Amino acid sequence: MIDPGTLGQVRAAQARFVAAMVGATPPPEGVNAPDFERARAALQRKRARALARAWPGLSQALGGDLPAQFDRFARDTPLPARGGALADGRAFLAWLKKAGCFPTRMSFDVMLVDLRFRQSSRGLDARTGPSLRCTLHDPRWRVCFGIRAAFAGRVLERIWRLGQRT
Amino acid sequence: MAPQAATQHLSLGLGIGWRPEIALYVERRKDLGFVEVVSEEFPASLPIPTPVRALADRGVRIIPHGLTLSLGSPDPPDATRLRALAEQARRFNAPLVSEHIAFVRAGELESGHLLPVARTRDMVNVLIRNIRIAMESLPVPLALENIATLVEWPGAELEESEFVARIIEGTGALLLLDVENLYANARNHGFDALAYLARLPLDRLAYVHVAGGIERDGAYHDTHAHAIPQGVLDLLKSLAVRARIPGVMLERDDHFPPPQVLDSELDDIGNAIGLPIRHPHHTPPAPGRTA
Repeated sequence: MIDPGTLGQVRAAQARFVAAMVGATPPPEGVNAPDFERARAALQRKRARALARAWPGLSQALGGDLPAQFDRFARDTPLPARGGALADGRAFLAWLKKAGCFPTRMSFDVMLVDLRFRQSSRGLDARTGPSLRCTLHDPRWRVCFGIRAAFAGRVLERIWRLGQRT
Repeated sequence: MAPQAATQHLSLGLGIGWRPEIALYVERRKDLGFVEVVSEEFPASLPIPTPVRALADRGVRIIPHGLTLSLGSPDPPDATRLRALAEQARRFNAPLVSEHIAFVRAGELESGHLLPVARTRDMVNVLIRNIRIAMESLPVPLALENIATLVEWPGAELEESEFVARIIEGTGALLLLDVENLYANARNHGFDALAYLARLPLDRLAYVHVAGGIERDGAYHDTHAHAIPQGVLDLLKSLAVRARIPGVMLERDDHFPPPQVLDSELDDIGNAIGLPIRHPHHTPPAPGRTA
């Protein structure tokens, strides 16, 4: 039997550790600060690499702005509890939209993800019902829309892109 | 089955971490005895990818490797995540599953990475409790991996080797020894890696991870995205002198090199522990010369 007081202390200490590791709070007392910052930076790089793999169009869409923008986003926004890098990227794109700098060439990629997942405070949840999504902002196509429905254990998904822009 | 008996009959051979980016390479490398898959990337709601199914069909063992159980958290492991890992073991007919001596979340915050636990006697008890709960939920043996960490908690009561040993011995779990993580921690935190090996219950060794990394900002970083340092291979050779190694695998997560480089790294790993290499690209050494 482990002393509940001990568990409470561990819980609090680990909460401070993670909060400092994923955000901008100071490292826990007694921790080697340079080592902690090195670990925090490594974690950020890992998070950025995972984002690039899950959203390969982002590097092209944002170009050289991606590292700085993502760093600003990541400092204030912890990794979502559900959905991993896909959810992280979806939250990042929502953050960019709020900031008025959403890259329109990501419109189609966002539509595809929103067709399959619902954004929540905890990340991305797989949709269980039918969904219909549309975007008019893709720089290559005037209209993109998709439908998705599950029937008898099978999933039907169709995507249309109409009106190629010249 | 007692863990000791499990390792005596365990024979995995040479393996690799399966990633979609190298699926074709893995399919072509015919001397692999096992692959490790990241458990969370194969939810039961989705079919097993065809390349992985093909490997299983030709007799390659599949080992689910979990990342999110957070056995080092003060709360017991989540029952849903345990059930998922157990289901993975059944789906893949796995000989064992593996996880980490680490925590990955606190409260509502996910770290996105394996974080070290404080090396205290209380944390040994916490981990033993959580690991026993996990073992009771799993249909196959559980192997636990030592992690690399750039930062340590203050006030450590135990050396890392003693900490890991007490956890393995206190639970009856198997050991997944990551020699690159050991190399990294020995380099960054200044301890003797061979003395570390001497303390471990190597009779519980299930398999070994080997990976590469780089020096950056005054520390060695375990990146799984760079060449394997000679020091890691030397450590693997030292391990092979001390213990039977049922399985050894290459971990590569990013910056995947050409197939020839992967071949070379797997060959180096196999040679380090005396495994026969039998793949199409291997040139056996001339008679009278060592590999």
